[in-house]
Amino acid sequence: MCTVALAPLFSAVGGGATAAGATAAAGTAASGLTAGSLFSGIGTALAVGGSIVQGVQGARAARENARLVEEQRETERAINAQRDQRARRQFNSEIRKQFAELAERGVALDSPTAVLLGQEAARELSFESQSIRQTGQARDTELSAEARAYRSRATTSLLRGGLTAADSFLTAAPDLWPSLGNAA
Amino acid sequence: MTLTVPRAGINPGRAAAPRVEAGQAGAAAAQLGQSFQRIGGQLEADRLSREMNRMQVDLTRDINRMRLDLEAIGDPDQLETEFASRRDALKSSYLSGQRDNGRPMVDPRNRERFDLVFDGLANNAELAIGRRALAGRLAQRESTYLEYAHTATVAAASSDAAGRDGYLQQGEAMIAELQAAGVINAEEATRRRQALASDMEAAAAIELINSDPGAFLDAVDEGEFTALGGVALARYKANAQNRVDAEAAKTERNSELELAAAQKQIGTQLDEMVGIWNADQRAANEDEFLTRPDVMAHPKYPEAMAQRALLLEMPALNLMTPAQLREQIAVERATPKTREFQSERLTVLERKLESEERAWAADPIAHARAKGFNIPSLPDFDANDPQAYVRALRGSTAASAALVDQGWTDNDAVFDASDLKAIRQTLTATENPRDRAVLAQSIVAGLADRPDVIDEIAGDPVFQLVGRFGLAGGHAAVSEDILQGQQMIDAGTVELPPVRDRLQPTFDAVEDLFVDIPGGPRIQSATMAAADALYAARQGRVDPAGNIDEGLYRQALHEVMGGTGKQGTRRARGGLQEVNGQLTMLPIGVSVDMVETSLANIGQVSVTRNRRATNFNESQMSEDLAEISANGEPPVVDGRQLDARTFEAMQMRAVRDGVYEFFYVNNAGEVLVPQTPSGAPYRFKMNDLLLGFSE
Repeated sequence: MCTVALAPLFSAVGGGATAAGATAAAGTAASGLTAGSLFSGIGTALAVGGSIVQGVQGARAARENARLVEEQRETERAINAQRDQRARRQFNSEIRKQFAELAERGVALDSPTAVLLGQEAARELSFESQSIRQTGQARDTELSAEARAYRSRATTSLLRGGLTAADSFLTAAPDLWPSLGNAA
Repeated sequence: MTLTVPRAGINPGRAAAPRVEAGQAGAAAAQLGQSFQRIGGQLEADRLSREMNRMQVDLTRDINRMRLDLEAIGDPDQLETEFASRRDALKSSYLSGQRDNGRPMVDPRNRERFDLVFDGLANNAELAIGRRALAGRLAQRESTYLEYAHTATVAAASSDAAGRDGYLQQGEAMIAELQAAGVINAEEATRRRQALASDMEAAAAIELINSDPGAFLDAVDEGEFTALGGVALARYKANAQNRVDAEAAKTERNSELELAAAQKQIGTQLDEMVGIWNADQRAANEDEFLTRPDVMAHPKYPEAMAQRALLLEMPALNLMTPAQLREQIAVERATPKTREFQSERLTVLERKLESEERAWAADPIAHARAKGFNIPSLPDFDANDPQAYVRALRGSTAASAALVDQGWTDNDAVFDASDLKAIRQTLTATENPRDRAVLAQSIVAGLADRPDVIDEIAGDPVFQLVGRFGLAGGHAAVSEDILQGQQMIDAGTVELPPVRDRLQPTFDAVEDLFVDIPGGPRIQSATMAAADALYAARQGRVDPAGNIDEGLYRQALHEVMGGTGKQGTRRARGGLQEVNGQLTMLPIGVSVDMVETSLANIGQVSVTRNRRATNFNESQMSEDLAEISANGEPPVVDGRQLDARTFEAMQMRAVRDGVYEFFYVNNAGEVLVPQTPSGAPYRFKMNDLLLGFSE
């Protein structure tokens, strides 16, 4: 919205500067333009234009970064699920290996010892899975926040570009419109 | 035993975390733009500052110029109007004006500062102009008052007291107005009031004193002119009193003057009558005039009447010599004073004597001519008939001598002023040497008795010498040559060597020739000058640095002294010749042989009758010398008779024309002259010597 508000102003300054530059290049003295005011005009145009471009560029980069962060979040979520699955599978394999060893040692599988060991192993599995999921959840939350921050930065960058342009323009305004104060 | 089972980790890998950075081109451009902006701003600010400074200078100049222009305007109203319009015009000229590069004179960004500066300067100027306008207005008021004061003072001079009061009231009203307007303060107003009153009364007083000082004094007595103040009033009163007194004195003096003029006129008329009577005539209306009472009262009347009586009594009064007049005075003194105007007669006679004596002493010839005496006047000189001139000169000399002899005067002047002038003109005009020689001879002959007069009218010694030379029988040709040579020397066509060079070599003896002759140096210089002239005439061009032709010069000297023939030869006669080895001047026509023979015959006694044989005898010599002596006495040396040896050693020289003396030189080198027993130097006449002893 700020971009829309400043656009006519910018185009006016830029157009004026272009016209003045063309006149000065034509070598006529009719406009009475001095080197100082020429420099001022060019400087103002550059400062205003540069500031706006810089704001737009910053906004674009921030939006891109937000998108990249979203993508990373998706990937991280998938990776975390994969890891949980793999941890469960590995734990199950260990449990079965324990069962096999118990059996091998002659321990009845329904013996209380075996049952206790079985219960304990299942509890460990649960712990491991919870830890992984919790890590993934934390990572997801971080990236989500980062993406939000980037989106916010894009907006800020646009706003700052506009404001900086306005600042440059206003700084030069008394020179560009000497009758500014008188006209009011 | 356990079976090895390979296991992978549970970590499935990591997710990529790429990020993009925003481009900085915009920021860089913005930064460049800001730099541009800053530089542009500085440049602009610098330009505006410079323009403003320049403009400030221009403005100051223009406003000062405007102010100076306006200083010339005297009228304060016009001054202010003019100032306003000029100021606005100046400001708009700056605001609408353009620079050479097309930019406006006043940059819009400088407009505010321009207004401040312009108004500041214009306000200063306006203040000055306003002060001036104010001063002008005050001066106008002052001027009006001063004009009024002047007019009122002039008018007051010729008006009475009431009129003056009217003028004074008007003046005071004007002064009050000035005071109200703040042009003058109360002190000045009072002073002006007093001054105006005083000036007007002073003008009136002066006018009145000039026209009627008495009326002024009366007016003062009646109490007018009090505004003048004590000192001035006293001064004017004194002035008026002086004028009253002076007027009275003048009237008195005028009547005296008229009387004196009348007296003077009578005196002049009486003097004129005396002159007429002196001319032996009668004046018109003299009886009527002489009987007028005012004439008879005149102080000159008795003298005039005495003169008249004397002239009637003694018609020859005018032809009396001073001695006769003195006698007449003595007679008059001795006469008893019985007749009318007796004492005045004596005065008249004494005055007559005095004027006669003065006139005779001043210019006897002119006075004698005025009296009608027959004094011959000089004819014009005619070279072909010089005798008439000589006769006239002799007549004048004789007349002069007669005047002195008969006791008219002691002044023996021969000529009066007009005669002298005529003679001098004749001398100047006669330039031809032949005529001039005749003139010289005539003057010397005519004035032979009065050599002093010759000196007076013709001081030139050469001229005189030529005259005497001609009279003595000298050749006219020699006279002409001398005069011509003199003219050549005077004209500078010839220049002679210095005197010493001319004489020294051979003529040492020449100076001795003149030593003992009375007036010797004078004669010598005249002779030398004449010889120079003759030498110059004969020689023609003479080189002053060259040697002199001694022979020619000696011949010139010889001829100037009256010699003829060639000097130094037997044929020479007169002039300058050597007698017994001594240069001697001889009279014209006499030769050395004649002189030497005669000298040799002195003291010879005839042995035979025919004097063929003679013997020398000292006493005879003495007798012979006494015979030719000027005073008849023989010469003696140291009281003794001259002996033969001494006589033979004697040399002779001329002392006057034709008179000679012997001299000898003693052992001491002194030149001695034999004397006669009576003490005079022994001198003899050449003529007697030649007559008695030449054979």
